Amino acid sequence: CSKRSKRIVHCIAGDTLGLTRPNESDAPKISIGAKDTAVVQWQGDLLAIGATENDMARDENSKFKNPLLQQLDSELNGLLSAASSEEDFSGKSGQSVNLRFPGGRISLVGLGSSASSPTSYHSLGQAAAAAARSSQARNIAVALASTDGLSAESKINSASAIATGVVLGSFEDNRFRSESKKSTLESLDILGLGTGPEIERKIKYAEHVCAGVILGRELVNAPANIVTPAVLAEEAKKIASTYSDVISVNILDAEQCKELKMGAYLAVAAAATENPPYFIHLCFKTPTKERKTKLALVGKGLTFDSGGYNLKVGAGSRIELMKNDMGGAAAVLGAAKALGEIRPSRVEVHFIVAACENMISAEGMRPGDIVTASNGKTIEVNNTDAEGRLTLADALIYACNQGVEKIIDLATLTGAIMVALGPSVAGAFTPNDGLANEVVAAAEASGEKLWRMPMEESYWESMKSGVADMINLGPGNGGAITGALFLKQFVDEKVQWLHLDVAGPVWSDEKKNATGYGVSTLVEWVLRN
Amino acid sequence: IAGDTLGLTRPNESDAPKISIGAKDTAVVQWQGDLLAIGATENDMARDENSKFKNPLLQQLDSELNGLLSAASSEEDFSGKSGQSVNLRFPGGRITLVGLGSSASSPTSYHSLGQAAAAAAKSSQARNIAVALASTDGLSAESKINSASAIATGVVLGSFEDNRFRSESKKSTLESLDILGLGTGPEIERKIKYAEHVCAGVILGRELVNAPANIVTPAVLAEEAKKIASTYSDVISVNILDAEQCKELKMGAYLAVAAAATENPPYFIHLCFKTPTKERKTKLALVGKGLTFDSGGYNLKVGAGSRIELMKNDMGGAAAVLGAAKALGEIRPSRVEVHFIVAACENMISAEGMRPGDIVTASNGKTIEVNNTDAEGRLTLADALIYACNQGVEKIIDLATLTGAIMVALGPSVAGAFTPNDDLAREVVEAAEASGEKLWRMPMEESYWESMKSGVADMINTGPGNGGAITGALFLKQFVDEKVQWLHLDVAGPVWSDEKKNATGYGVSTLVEWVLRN
Repeated sequence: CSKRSKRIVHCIAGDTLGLTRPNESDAPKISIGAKDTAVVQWQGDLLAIGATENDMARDENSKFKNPLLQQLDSELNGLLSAASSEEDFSGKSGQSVNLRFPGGRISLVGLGSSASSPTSYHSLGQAAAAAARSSQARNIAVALASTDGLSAESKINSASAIATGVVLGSFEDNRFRSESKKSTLESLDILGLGTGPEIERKIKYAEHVCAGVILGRELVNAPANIVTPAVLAEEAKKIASTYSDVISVNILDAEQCKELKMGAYLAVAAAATENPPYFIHLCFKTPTKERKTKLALVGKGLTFDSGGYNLKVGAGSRIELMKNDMGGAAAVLGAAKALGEIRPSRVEVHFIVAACENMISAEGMRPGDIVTASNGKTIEVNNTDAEGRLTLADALIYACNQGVEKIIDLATLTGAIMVALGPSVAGAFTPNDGLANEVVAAAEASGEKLWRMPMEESYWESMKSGVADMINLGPGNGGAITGALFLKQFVDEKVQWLHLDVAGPVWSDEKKNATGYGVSTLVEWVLRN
Repeated sequence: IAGDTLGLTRPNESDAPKISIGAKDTAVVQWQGDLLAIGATENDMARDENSKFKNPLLQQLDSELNGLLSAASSEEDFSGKSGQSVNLRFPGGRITLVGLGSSASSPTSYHSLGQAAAAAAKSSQARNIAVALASTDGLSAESKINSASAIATGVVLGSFEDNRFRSESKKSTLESLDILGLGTGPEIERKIKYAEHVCAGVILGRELVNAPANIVTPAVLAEEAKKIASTYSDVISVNILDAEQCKELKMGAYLAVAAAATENPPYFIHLCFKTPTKERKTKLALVGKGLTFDSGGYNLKVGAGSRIELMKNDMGGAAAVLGAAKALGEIRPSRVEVHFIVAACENMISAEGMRPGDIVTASNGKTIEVNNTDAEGRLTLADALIYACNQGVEKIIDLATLTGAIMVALGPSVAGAFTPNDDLAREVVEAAEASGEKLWRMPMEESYWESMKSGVADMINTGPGNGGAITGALFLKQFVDEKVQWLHLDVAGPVWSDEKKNATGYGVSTLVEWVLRN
């Protein structure tokens, strides 16, 4: 067999560098339902109650004023009241009290001064999942101490956020451990937030999104010797075959990309002789005849970014985390999986990833080389470690050629955005106020943090080259802005476009794990189109 | 103070432009003077089939000049893009055609027009100049007035050169500016007068920042504040606290920063603006970071990227606040009481100085473990903000060259605005838009406060990781009364222009505009 096909077999058959063979993915399988069982009547291993600071108010006899807490407390002969006093539990977010009593377990989880955001319900779900894990619970229920002031719609939304928190909180990525404990959680009952088809539909939706988030996490967590460009392409094909009635796939190899004149993308991929590039294009479309808004989600897919000849050196370079440089691609594929389940009928969505490695070899691009993107624009590569934008240049041109109306690209693009917004917040760049509002609203609904940043056009001056149309890395401050301005050069002016710099939030240093950031915002945004 | 400074430098007198500015209805082709500047958009440059200008004014000028204007703008590829200009010398004088871009809607493009006119005047040593727009179609009466004011601002600031520290310099020759075709009368004259007052404040701000740390010490900054108070003594009062008085007020955070500076002790500056009218007055405070030099302290700024040689600009916030005080002293708004507050000091190294790891106590009793002596601005601001809240103000804006992170985030030209208050954010964003200064709201991400916890004190002063401008803002928030509306402007980028090697006076015009809108 040819050298090339042998390589692909290598990657996919699991005979990887280092001989690691991942275990099967172990996504939680939890049966989730909204029930109208009274909280005190509920039978199971663990009951988690979310309480705000208000809910924790006491009367003159230091009894709870809140009826549900009062009732539980009297069932437990005052244990709840005593324990929460002893442990200084006042309903602040981050606080919790865990009680073991003959009939089972109760967790009281603080929601803060008022639980209005999806984030606080996510946290409640996560706290419930953590308590379930540590007690090896199989059947759990979650309820709120009070639902006063919650509209029917907010109840449904909070049920969905709780479900999301439990599912994502009970997920552990154990594919690369030689031994691991399985999650015992089998069922989750959500009490007191309503029942019926509407809430069930919303919970189902949350489960689909969670499946996408978990795929996103797994793709990022898997190291670069496992998830190569070829494997990323295989994952895309798997999604297409699972949802073959609504998702089609087209994978271009280096030769086909060359025919399309994708010089910027191929220049980045040039050094990676062991793991060649694959350009991934999935298209989602239900066979209904409704008019469909055409959208594209473009993800940066550097399965490993060494920096190239501008090698990432030194303690602050985080080269050891550069498997996460395909976090944008992971979010895009996660969204594809979720949308394959949800099947919205009014959109046609293109998922595009120019996947490659940024390596060092004699075949590689040198600092100072001038490359030519598929729209004919020339770029002096003054820094090989600003490679993501080179791959995105050709990916964005390709997306525009699909005739889409709107594009969101997600990219772990700059260190500057992390300096700007810290580890948890993504930066959104767009010249289009309408699209900015849409994406900000979708992110709020999904509980992901993002912040709009300026497209300061005056900074483009610093991106001019002495010999080509532009350079790829600005010389000074404002690196996330000049990165966005660079991408803008490759987007058709008639297409609405937003760039999300997700270098911070795709990865949690605290958990040493991927977050799956972006999937839920993307899905929410697509469904609102 | 008497001028016997380290290095024996004796600055020349300030040389602010004295230009007589008027809005005239003289027809452009009739105007007599040394230099006529015309602002033209890309639309204005459209030609007809005979490649004549379609724009009536340009057509008229071109025929007066026998086609010279048309020929020169073709030859020099002038198409009205912003940044472009064509300069013509002909027997009767000079014309400068200045590009305004695709459409001139922002104050910035009119500022640039004024600046281009001032630059052309300077290079031709013109004394009398006029500025006009090729077309005013689509401009409301109000936008005409605003564009006249922006043009005036551009000309005044563009013709200012800070020559106090040169042994020889050429004086500006510019004496008069006529603004043509944008209307006449008291309203436009008032607006132009207002622009002149703001420019005087901007120029003071620039001069304070440009002056090096051996000239502008904390004591000199306090003297400058006193000068403002004595010039506008009927509306501005002054109170300067020395170190001893600050100690009585328990300003431990501020005094800890100042401790090393035994040669140039700290002065806490407080000006109060208030007209003697009986109207109800909204009480506001403007607080400026006033590090006349920031060496970093024992966390010394080292290495090529540290920019220690530019650290005279670490009082850019204070300069903006004093510039605003001067402008407001002229403008005399009657419905506000404004407190201008600067905790001025040097951040030096000496045996008396604060050490990394020291725990200091601010005047509200909160304790701070100083894990980095180069995050000193927030320590001085802590006590300044507490003091401001104690004045009973409703709203505070603080301006500070606070972090390098904001420069990484927003680049060299844009300030970051941090506030928990959406209304105040909107007010300040609108004031900045009207004044043509660039700022961008940034998030107060509360979850990052976790990283500012200390093992031994109430908090540390420098966050360990990314998001340094955000954690800086969250630190300041600890010292602001919750009932007071507060906005923090991190101006580390825009106070200084690397290109011009000069201060910009950033902040003055936005502050004045915001105060007047209250």
